Formats: sequence, C-alpha cells, structure tokens
Amino acid sequence: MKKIGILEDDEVLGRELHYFLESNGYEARLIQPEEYVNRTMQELLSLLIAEKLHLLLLDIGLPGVNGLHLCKEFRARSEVPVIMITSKNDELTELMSINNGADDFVAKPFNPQILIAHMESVLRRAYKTSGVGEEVRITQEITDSKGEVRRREFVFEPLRGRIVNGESTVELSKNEIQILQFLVKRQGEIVSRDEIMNALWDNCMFVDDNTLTVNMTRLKGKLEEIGISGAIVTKRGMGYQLL
Amino acid sequence: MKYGRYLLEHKIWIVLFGGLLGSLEIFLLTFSGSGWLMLYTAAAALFTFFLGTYFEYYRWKKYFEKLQGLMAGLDKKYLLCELLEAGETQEEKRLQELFYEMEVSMNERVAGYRRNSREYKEYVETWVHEIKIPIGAMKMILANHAQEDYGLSQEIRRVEGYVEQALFYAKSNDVEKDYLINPVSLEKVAQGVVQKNRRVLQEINAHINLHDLQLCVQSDSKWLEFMVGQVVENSIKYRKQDDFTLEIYAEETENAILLHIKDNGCGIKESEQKKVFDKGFTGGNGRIASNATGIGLYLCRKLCKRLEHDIRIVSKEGAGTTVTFVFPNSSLTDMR
Repeated sequence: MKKIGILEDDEVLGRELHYFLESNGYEARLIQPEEYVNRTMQELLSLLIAEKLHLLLLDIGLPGVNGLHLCKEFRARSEVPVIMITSKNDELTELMSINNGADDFVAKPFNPQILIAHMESVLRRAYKTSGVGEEVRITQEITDSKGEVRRREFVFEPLRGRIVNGESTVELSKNEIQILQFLVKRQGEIVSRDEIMNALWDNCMFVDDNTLTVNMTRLKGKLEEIGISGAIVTKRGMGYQLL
Repeated sequence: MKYGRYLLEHKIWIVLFGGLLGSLEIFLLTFSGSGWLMLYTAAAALFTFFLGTYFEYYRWKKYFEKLQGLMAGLDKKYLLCELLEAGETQEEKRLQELFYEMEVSMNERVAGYRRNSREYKEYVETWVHEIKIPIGAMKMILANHAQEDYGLSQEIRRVEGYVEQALFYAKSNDVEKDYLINPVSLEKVAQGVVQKNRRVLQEINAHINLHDLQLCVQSDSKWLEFMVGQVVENSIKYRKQDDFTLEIYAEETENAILLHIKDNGCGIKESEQKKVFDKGFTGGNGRIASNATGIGLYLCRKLCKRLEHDIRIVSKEGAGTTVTFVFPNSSLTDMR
C-alpha cells in the first residue's frame, strides 16, 4: 500500500481528503497544523522524511510556510514525488511549481477522481511499477460444454496492443486495450459498464454507450478469433466479467 | 470658422469703427468739404478695419485648427495640453493654464477609478481563490458519500463554473498582464475541457469526437481552456433533447491554426449571430434555456483580443453551431 502524505491547512478538506484516500486503497497521513505551525523548515523536512512517504500532496499556501520553498527543499533531500495543490489555477503558479521540483500540479477545487488519476500517474512514473506490464499472463478456468473444468492461458501484451494465444495473435484497438487492462486488473469480479466507461474517460477516451457496446463486442470477437471463447462473460444488467 | 460670422460676433468693432469713420466724415465735410479726401479717408479706414479684423480672425483660426489637429491624433483626449507648445499671447497662456488644470483633475479622477477597479479586481481574485477551498471540500465530502448525492455534485459544478467565470471577468477588465504565452497543445486543452464537463457529458451519453488535434499554438493554456470550456458549456446548454454530438478538431491553414468546436445543437438564428459576442445578449435560445447570462461568449471575444486570437461563429438554426478559434501565425507570437 502506498503511503500518501497530505499537507493541507483547510481542516475539512484535509480530513475529507484523508478519508477519501484511505477508502481508495492508500495509506494516508494528514500532517496536522500543530506539526508545521511555528516549526522551522528543518524540523518540518525531517518530519516529512521520517514519515517514509511514497507521495506528498502539498498545499502551496500553508500558513507560515512557503509551499514552493518547502517543495524545493524537500526535493533537494528526497526523491519522493510531490503534487502541488493550489487554488490559483494559472500558468505562472504551475510553472513555478514545476520549477521548484513538483512532479505535478492540481488546482482546487479538484475532482477527486482526477486527483487519483494524477497521483497514479505520478506514482507510476516515480516507482516504475507501471500497471501496464510488458505482458500479462491471463489464466482462466473454463467449464466446457461437457461440464469438465480445464485451465487455459493466454498472453495480453498491452504495450504492443495484442493478445497472443499459442501461435495466433490478434491486434487490439486503443479502446480495447484499455478495456482489457481494466478487466485484467479486476479479474474474476463483475465490472459494471459505468466503471469501464469511467476507466476509459480517465484516459481521455471519451466513448459513449454505443461505442462501448461496439468495443466490447469487437473485443470478444477478437478473442474468439484466436480460439479464446467465452473469456468475457456478459452479466445482464450488471456488467462484464473476465473469468 | 467663418470670417463673416467672426465679424458679426465681434460687432463692437463694427460699431466703434463705424462711429469713428462717421464722425471723421462729418468733420471733413464741415471743415474741408473735399470729396476726394473724404473718399480716401473712408477707403483707408475700411481697409485698415478689414485687414486688422481678418488678421485677428486668421490667427485664431490657425490656433484652433492646430488644437483640433492635435486632438484628432490623440487617443486620450484629456492629455491635449501635454502636446501644446508654450503659448505666446496672454489668451493662449490663460487657455493653456485652464487645460492644464483640467488635465490634472482628470488624471486624479482616472487614477482614482483605476485604483478602485484594481482593488476590486484583486478582491475578486482573492475571493475566488478563497471560495475554491470550501467548494473543494464539498466535492471531497460528496465523493466520500457517493450514495447520498441528491444531485448536489451537479449543482456544485454549476457554482464552480460561475466562480471561474467571475475570475476571468475580473482578469479581462484590467490592462495588467496575468497571462503567460507558451506553446499549448490543443489536444490537452480539448481533453481538459471534456474532462471538466465529464459528468454531464456521460449523463447525456454524448458522442464525443476529438480528432486532428496534434498541433500547438502560442497561448495561455488556462485562458484557452476557459474559453473553449465556455463554448462547450454553451453547446451542452443548447443541445437538442437527444443524440448530442460534440466534435473538436484543429486545422492548419497557410497563415493560421484553427480550432473548431462543432455541435449538433439547436443553432442560432441568422439575425442573432452577429450579436452573440455582445455582453448580456442571450437571444431566443437563451430565453428558452433561462439560465443564460450572456457573459460567456462576450468574455471569450474579449480574452481572445488580448491574446491576439480571433473567435468566429457559424451556425444554422436547427442544425448546429461551429465556433472557431483562430490563432494567426505572427512574428509577434511565434517564438520558435
């Protein structure tokens, strides 16, 4: 689990952010005002470093602390990525944040989902634990028509955009790769259409309902083409499931 | 200025001169009786009269022509006396003193208003930054209680839109430069705008088509995103009931890059198309939609002017609207 430090002076926003990150699978550490007010920069820096964070969310306008300066000092001592949070959404602030070593910049009032997307991409860059592997081996247990259970395995190569099953391969479109990636992440679970749609939108693929249906049908068709039938099951009224 | 009018307006000279000449003629008639002398005297006196008055008239005429010439070339008319050479006659000097006094008082007044407007602008900017914090907190709270939304997210999004508009309105009014010209990726701008309106777009199952956007323009990304956002929000607001299509694409011509935002909404009447950039104009569609403010496109054009862009609109009633941002290639903005 990734540990995220939050330095945010607005009490409600900090508390809710803390709760939101915790409920989204991160370990969040909200740094309380008494921990940074009336402290020297050195004390604050040692505190941040001692926390062993994976990522720091830093409000640019903390009382008594210059966020930009803090970011620069922190960056000088630590490799931990920093995302600047500010209510000033202009080019200059963004430029100054980046110049002072911030990895990303999010303007208030941010959409929580967008924040997560930014965090994920920063974390991915910083720790190279890309959700996108070179290749993913997908193992399924299939009950065939005779009622026998057998195992099968095929390889999904997201970076090359194809699926390999033994000798045969099939190329996937951008949308299909994204959909399959999302299904792979949650293999075995039933995933709703809305969730898939959101995952696509998170990656700036703005599909509508019909397109999603078409993409799903094509994806299943392509899997069948190379002899992987029934890999994705449609659950009427609920969504899809990658077995 | 006309000479005849000048004479009539300075009747006093006619009266005095007439009186003088009359009495002189009577004097001559009484004492010498010479007709030639009388004629000569009259002619000489009239000549002197016309020469003198014409000369005076001509001097004033030139003086005012000079003033008018200077005035015509001036952008800020109240600065006239800065351009005047030192006056020669008392009249000119007195006039200049008055002009100068006027200018000083005008400058004070202008400075006062400018200060007020700057203070107000600064206040609005601070206010906007302050209000964003509770809005952010509300959004986080709603995200943490996604089951109990009661439509609040949508309303908060609207508040956010109006707050942002207020910020750009404040920025657009002042001559201070709060923008930063950089190469801006049109693709990023378009994606950002769609993301921002994501909830609505997903809800109405919009068909979105972003293509041919791999171009960069010299602009301020935040301002541009705001402007494109205003256009997209209009498209959403004035959509037809079903099947909403939004197409954003760029085009490179010989002397400009064009960014088109095309929808299949209800369109704008031809008679109203010219007015859509006017402040407060809402038109027939606006009255139907009832939440039109008439500020969005007005602001777009204003901000475009400051960024040296252009904005155009083509629309067919009932068929849809295309708004185009024009980014001219110019030595001023091209820094490569």
